[in-house]
Amino acid sequence: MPLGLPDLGCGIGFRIPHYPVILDSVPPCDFFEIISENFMVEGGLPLRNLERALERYPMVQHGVSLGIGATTPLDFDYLARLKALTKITNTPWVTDHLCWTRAKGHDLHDLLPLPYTEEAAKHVAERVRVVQDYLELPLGLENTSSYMTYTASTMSEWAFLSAIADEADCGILLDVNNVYVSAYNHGFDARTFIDNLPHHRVLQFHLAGHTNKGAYILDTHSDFVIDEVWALYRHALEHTGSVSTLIEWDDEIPTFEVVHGEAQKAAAIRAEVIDAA
Amino acid sequence: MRLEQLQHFLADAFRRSEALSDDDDIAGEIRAVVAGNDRLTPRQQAEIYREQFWLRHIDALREDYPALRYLLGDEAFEQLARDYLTACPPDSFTLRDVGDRIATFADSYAGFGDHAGPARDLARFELAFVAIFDGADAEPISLEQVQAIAPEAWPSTVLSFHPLLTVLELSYPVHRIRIGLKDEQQPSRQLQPEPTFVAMWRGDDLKVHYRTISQDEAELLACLRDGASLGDALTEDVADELQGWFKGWAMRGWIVDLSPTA
Repeated sequence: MPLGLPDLGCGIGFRIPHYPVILDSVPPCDFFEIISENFMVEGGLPLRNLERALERYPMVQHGVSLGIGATTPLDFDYLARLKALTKITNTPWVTDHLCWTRAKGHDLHDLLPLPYTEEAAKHVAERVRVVQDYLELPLGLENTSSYMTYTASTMSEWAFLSAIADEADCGILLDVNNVYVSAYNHGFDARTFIDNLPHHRVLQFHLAGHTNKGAYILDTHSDFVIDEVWALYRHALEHTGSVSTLIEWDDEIPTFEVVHGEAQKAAAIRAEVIDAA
Repeated sequence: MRLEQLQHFLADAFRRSEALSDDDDIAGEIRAVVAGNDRLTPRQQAEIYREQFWLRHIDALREDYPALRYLLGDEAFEQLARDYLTACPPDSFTLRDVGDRIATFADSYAGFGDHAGPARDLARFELAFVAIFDGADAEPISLEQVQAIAPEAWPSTVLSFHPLLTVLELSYPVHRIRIGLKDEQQPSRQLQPEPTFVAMWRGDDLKVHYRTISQDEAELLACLRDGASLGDALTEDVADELQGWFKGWAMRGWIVDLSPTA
């Protein structure tokens, strides 16, 4: 049990095309994950749908706009809305990406990579501590898929993520597909990334499909998880033990049954690894 | 380069409207900060993020402004989106707000060609959809609240309306385009000027609804929403209409409070 947090099983993202099935038929699913920002609204259909889902399923919150690595001041209006939503969902933790999203008063709505430097690690760790204190919940930082590296970087991505997590005493959302994508894009060994993390801090896994453009891989969440990523997931589980796992599918979304089938596949792999341990 | 400087530089680079080129004024700086690899040069790596910035935000505008896109056509709509995003860069944490200044921008935009009037009306009309869809809830009045008002108290009664009720005065009946698209038809893009008052609200089903209303009804609503009592707002010309209008307002959940002031 990482950081004393519960293992919720294997779930999928709570996405609009599946609402009729989820809300009307209530199919079995261990848990769902919402994109927090889609529900940080004042009223209407999004919150009504969320309330209906919460009557039946555990829910975790995953964000895209925290901008923990930005150099703009933390946005406490955003954090207040995020915290208010955690009171509705009862999420056991909050996750967002190790990235920056905003500069000069403008939001780029992208998960922009940071240079892997001591300066950036210290900056992010300080902000994580503030956010965790404010939210009164564990924060999990997700490794992103990236398409660019910096000349200024002085350490590996896994060393950077580990240093921040240890310094800030926070969790890690280990996106195994992102490890694979960034390893392809930047030419490092994906297993080395996974082997060198503080495994007790991994509070959740993400798994997804991607699009290989040849010169680089784009993290599109538009396809099945590939075999190489399943193998990496199995490898990661051997280090972490049983950790909540979520399938992300955000573009060209197939039926609920297809996406949930990926979660069931994750559950089977998880059971195999845990039984063998 | 310090972290803040790096982010400022890249934020500007990623918002550039033209593809990054090795001849750009910033090409040297990009090579200085972005590492590249054996498959992609520093410029090509940065260009992935620049492209994504435009794709993501133009897609968000396409989704929120389907009738405006239909009216203008794909090419002209994309140019509008690019010009708008250049003039009004996203400043909210949520893509929901990406078009929040588009109606004001459209008022002075010179690129609409023959569609300027309807396009400006559509920008206002479709922007209202976004605001109404997930705005704050308010409890409509009940039948008991209406029945509790004594007959002699009605003239002094002030009505409070749902904060999401929106009444637009349009110069063209642009709602017909949205209706046509919803019905999977190909509505005419050639609209003739026609003063049109459209009331928009969120229904019990939590969907955004709209209906055209008369100028008299729109003017009475405006007067009442400014705080006038029913007696002060009502003119002889529309007195006969009031009962029917009030019934419709109450049925649609537009009225959230009744306050006799005398």
